[in-house]
Amino acid sequence: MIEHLPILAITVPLFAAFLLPIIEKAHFRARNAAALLAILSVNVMVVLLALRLSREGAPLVYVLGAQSPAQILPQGLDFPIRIMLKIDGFSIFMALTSAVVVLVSYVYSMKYVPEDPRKNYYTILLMLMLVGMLGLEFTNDLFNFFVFLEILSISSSALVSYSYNRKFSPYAGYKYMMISAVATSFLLIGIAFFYSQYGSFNIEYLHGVIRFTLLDKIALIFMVVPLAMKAGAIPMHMWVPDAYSEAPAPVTAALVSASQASLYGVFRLSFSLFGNPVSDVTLNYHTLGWIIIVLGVLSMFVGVTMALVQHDVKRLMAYHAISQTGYMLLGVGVGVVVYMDPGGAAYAAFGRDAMMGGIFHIMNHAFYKGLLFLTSGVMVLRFGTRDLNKMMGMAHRDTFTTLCFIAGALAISGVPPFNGFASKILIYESVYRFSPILAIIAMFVSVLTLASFLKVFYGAFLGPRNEDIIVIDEPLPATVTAAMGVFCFLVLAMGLFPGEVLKYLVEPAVAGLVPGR
Amino acid sequence: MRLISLLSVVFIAGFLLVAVMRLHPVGEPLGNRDVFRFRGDTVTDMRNVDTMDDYFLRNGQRETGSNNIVASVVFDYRGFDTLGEATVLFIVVCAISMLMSFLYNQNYVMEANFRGPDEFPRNVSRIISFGSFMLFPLIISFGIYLVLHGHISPGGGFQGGAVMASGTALLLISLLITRHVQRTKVIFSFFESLGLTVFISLGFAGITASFLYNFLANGSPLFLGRTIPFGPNPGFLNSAGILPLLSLAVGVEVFFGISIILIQLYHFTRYASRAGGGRDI
Repeated sequence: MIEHLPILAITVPLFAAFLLPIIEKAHFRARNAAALLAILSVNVMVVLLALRLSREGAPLVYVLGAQSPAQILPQGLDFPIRIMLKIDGFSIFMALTSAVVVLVSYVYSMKYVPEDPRKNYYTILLMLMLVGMLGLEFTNDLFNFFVFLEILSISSSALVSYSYNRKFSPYAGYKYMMISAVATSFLLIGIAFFYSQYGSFNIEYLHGVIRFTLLDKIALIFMVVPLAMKAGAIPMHMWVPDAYSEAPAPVTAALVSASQASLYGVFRLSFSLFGNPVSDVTLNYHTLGWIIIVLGVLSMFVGVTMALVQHDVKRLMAYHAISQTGYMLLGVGVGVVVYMDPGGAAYAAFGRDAMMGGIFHIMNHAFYKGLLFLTSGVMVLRFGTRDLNKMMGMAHRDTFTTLCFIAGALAISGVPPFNGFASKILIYESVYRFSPILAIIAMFVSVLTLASFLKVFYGAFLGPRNEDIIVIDEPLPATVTAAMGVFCFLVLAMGLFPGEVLKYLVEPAVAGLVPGR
Repeated sequence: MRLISLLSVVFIAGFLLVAVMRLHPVGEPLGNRDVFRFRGDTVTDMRNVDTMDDYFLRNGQRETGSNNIVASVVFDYRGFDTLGEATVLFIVVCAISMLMSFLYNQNYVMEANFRGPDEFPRNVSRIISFGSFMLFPLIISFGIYLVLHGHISPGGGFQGGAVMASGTALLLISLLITRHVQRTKVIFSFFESLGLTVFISLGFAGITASFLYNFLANGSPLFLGRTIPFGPNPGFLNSAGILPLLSLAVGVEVFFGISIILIQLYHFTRYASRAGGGRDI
């Protein structure tokens, strides 16, 4: 059974999601138990896959519908004909992030989202988000990537409009769905350009035969720009504040992870599909890298300046999500610029570290931003509003939430004992050797981040105790506290032991993205 | 701002035009022109096979036992994508049911039935109503034909299911649809889940080889495993292994899924017209 784990990790939650409308008829507790069991089993399977990957060293390959899962090229063909999953270090890194985030947000929402007839659909859609993320992270087939991106987009846009009795939730969901539709359509056009030239969808095969014609370069634009749009990079960021702020808090935590999955697509396509260091003709990596850097710096700076003026706590956090995406783009962009330098000295000196910082930041961001959004859910629960001006004195009653918020805010600003520091210091140091001004901008953005989170802390948590503005006075359910505790633990543990995470997760991820360097 | 939008549209259109001019010419095969020259007897034949398309044309019929090469690609070679697309429809049904759930949680009783169509829509005449009712069994049987013959002739689960669902639309036009919208939804959603569960269970059943392996093809004729000759043949219902079963599962899922969407949207339009067009609840 061990060789079927790649497909089981995708199909077991899918199977559970198909069965949930039937299970739900028995009792809602049975549904909760089934969903929790399915998401937990995905986590276990991803961990087992990671262990197997580190034992074998080579990427794990699974061919669907073939006589044996390892049969890539039947009968001596030189091109694959079936859909293929390929799991390398970067896939497993992203899959681990997605699985943990979805597990925690599901546990959070078990009691947080009130029980009503729609809760069943909520559970199904959250599980299908997980399926979409895992599918597009595991697949090695462009069309299959598109299908899973569609699954991810449609289920998340439905979840954004979950609280339909609030005025703007359906509008936010509609906006997100339109953006996703545009993005996936253009992605499909780019894939069609590839198919019309090479007659295949397999990323590994295309990587070997790509000729970098003009059509390939147009396809690059049509594939990378939509994915950057779904990841929320700056000129295409207009959907992020609306979608993130209108979604229920646990969904927002999962949405952060969904955006990271699109970012995975950007990196995967620009390295594993277009990056071909062996052939003579190749892409101009210098230009591509600088485009990614400029996108990243713009995202960082514009995101944080927009966040400074917000009064809505979830919109503020959403703008910070844009800003933090900039760090990942900056780190990986620096790696891309020096990637093709002659001799590879610059890449070995700081390019690899920059990429490691950027990729490490993906996981860190998913965890501390998830934690911050979960605490914002508690704020909304207590005060019945997202307006910071109408909140005060939450530290008097919810001590644990306050501690979690402090951990998250310090982590996002890059303050030492937390995980944000570990990845940001890698980015600062390596980017400084590439271009000091970029590193200074990155540090300045971190300072502004801390400033705006101080504003939230001062506004919502400090101040006199005021019982009149509290809407819901009950103690927090144990699942909500447990979910925030898990994130808090991860944020602290990854900050205290960054070396282990770098060694066992991030280095294989960079090695999977840039094989042989 | 309007100028920026205009410029970006022109920019993207220019890109697309340049790309279209460089595309592969229409009608020109990407692979080998002589893919059908040899009439081999072996199950897989690699002569004159240069690309993935050539492989499907040359070997798809015998490997999967399906005369319809499109069905063999959709349900066998790329069956996982089909599972994903069926999941997309399932998500859409879930999303619409979620957003429309206010139809059930208030005392909202359907009055529409054949005897008293007095509210909405008033403009359906008796002729249209009765005519569409008479068309219903024909459409359903045509859809069932498309689903069951998906591996022999053009058609398949998605197409047949959509055709059958247009029968539901006819029932809606004829005002014969049930007033028990919640009970209908529960039953339909059960069958929708059943179709998808059968699909994915067939995938799991082949996992001794790999997920979605066509374990019935070219086996016993009793279990849909009849081998068929290369080239033109009359077509046999008991060929193609799990393809007809997958097609049936998808057909059931698509029919009940689209029917749920249609029924809920129909009741929503009634609700909206009664509440003065607003959806603010």
